[in-house]
Amino acid sequence: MYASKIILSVMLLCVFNITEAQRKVKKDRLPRRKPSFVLQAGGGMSYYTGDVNLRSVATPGSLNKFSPAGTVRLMWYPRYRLRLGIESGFTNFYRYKVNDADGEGKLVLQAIPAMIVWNMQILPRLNIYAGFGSFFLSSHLNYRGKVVSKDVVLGSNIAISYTLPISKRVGIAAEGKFMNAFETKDAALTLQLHFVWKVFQWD
Amino acid sequence: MKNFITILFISSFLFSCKKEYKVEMPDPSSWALFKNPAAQQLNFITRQAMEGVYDVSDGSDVFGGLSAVKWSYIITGSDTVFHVSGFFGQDIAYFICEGKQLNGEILLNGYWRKMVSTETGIVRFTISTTNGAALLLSSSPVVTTGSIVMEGVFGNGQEEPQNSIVLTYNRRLNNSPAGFNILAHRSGGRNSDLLPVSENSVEMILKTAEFGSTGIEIDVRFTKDGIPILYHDNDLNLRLVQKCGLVGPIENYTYAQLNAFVRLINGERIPTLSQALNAVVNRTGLTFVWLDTKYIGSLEKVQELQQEFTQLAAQQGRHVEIVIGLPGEDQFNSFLSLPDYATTPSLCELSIADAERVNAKIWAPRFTEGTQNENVATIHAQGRRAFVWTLDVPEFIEQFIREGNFDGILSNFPSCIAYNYYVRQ
Repeated sequence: MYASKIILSVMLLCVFNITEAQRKVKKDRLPRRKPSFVLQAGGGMSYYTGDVNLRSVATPGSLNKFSPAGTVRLMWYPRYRLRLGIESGFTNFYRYKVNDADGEGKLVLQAIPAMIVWNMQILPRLNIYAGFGSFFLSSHLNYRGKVVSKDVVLGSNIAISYTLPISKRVGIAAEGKFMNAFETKDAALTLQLHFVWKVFQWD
Repeated sequence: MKNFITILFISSFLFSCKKEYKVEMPDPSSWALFKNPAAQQLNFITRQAMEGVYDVSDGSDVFGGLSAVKWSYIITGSDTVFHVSGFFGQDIAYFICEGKQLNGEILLNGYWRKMVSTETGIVRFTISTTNGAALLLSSSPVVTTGSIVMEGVFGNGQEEPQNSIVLTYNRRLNNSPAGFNILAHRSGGRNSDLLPVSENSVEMILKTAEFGSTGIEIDVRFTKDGIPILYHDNDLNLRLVQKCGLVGPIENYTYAQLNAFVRLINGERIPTLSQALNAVVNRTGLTFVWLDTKYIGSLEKVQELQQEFTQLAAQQGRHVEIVIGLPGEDQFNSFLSLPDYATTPSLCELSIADAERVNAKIWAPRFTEGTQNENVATIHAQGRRAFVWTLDVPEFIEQFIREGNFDGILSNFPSCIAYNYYVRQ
């Protein structure tokens, strides 16, 4: 119910926001920038920030909250300031080992986000992002047999990035992002470097 | 600017907190008198004589005017631990205490809880020599109205109890209709009721009699390697288990994997059905088990365990009735494919005709159908019993006990059923 309320509220806000923005835009006030599609891709490290208490199961010291993380994002830059896009990527939320009388084992919880993302430039070169969607979680378990088990949960993310232009169409961005799979109370903070490419421009 | 505010609003909404309720169970061990090494356990005669309906004088504004006081036990190794519970009529309140005798007085020490809220605290009672202890500690006590007065204090949370509560013996506990089943849902109550132990755990099975239960309903699923376990939901989730990194359907994992990596919400391991039935038969005084089959597939393994533990109980001179629940068509058809289905004790949640078809011992409609006294009479005429599920609203529980003729009620609040059944006149 809680998740449904969030989805409904966000959808209503988006519809309202986009409608309002479109209605109020006057052609003569539009900035000179041309509409475009921008692709961002990159990677870095993530740190799991959710609470996890595995004292009763994990081998002491085996919990690892750091992981490589990657992001792929395709944004539509319209004439007005609020941009819309889609985002995916990967990270491992955490991994740990178990060592008991029956043997050794390890588990990795992997997360692949699938988000709708809104973005706005708040200062020159400085962008903020807010995404809402799902995380495709998968448990990779190796203990007396291998198991890969999957689930889809609701989640969101927010990010801030600084883009350094290299050419008219290409740039490099440093991004900090907070990912929150709120349905399973999993969360991670990531720091990444992105390659930014304006793949298509018109008008 | 407007868009920025919108994003801020969305973000703050998404990341805003959801209130999580918690019940901090009080630790009543600070009562020095109760810890006195000279304090002794109460004997069977005393415990039995204490049971009854008590008038609540001081404290009635918090707990209501009556309390049904009843003892329960669990067996731990070579020891038997006894608890006395008092079930109240207000806010589904109860107390659970241990009892001892010291210098001719009876001391009760424990905690109270209200199930409609997170309120809890320490409670202590003393039955002085002149207020009934001498009578209760005698070899053949004859208890009459007013002959026992339990003078006590209760507090909130971990604070030293200071509020007065007085219980005065009024009458014996009702036992009509005889053999009435007070059944605890998910072995004792849901996790959302913030009990100190997890639903569908051995620990809850050991605790449920303290809440007044005479029997339990437990949820049966199978692991990947075909071991029947107790678990309610389809998948591993934070409602039932601690965060462990395992996601997806529970059937994806073997029992060894679940045992090594998963802990229930209060830290217990997921029990096998065998472990659960072993606890019922060997460690509790429970007399009824309803195996709610949450999976679709063969019921043969469940039937084998049902027979094994029914016989084990019989060998110990105990009558423990274990029935296979048939909640839907799939389980009904699986049950029909068992070789001895007609002589296998079952509980049918479908129609009366279906109950008749599988020769179910019990027909169990949902409470929304009402008291259904005519249907219950039909079932009784067939030599079957009727249970109703899952009744949680105190007013409905009171109504079903007063107006209905069911032989048992399933609830997340067995203490509420216990109160309404035992105080009935």
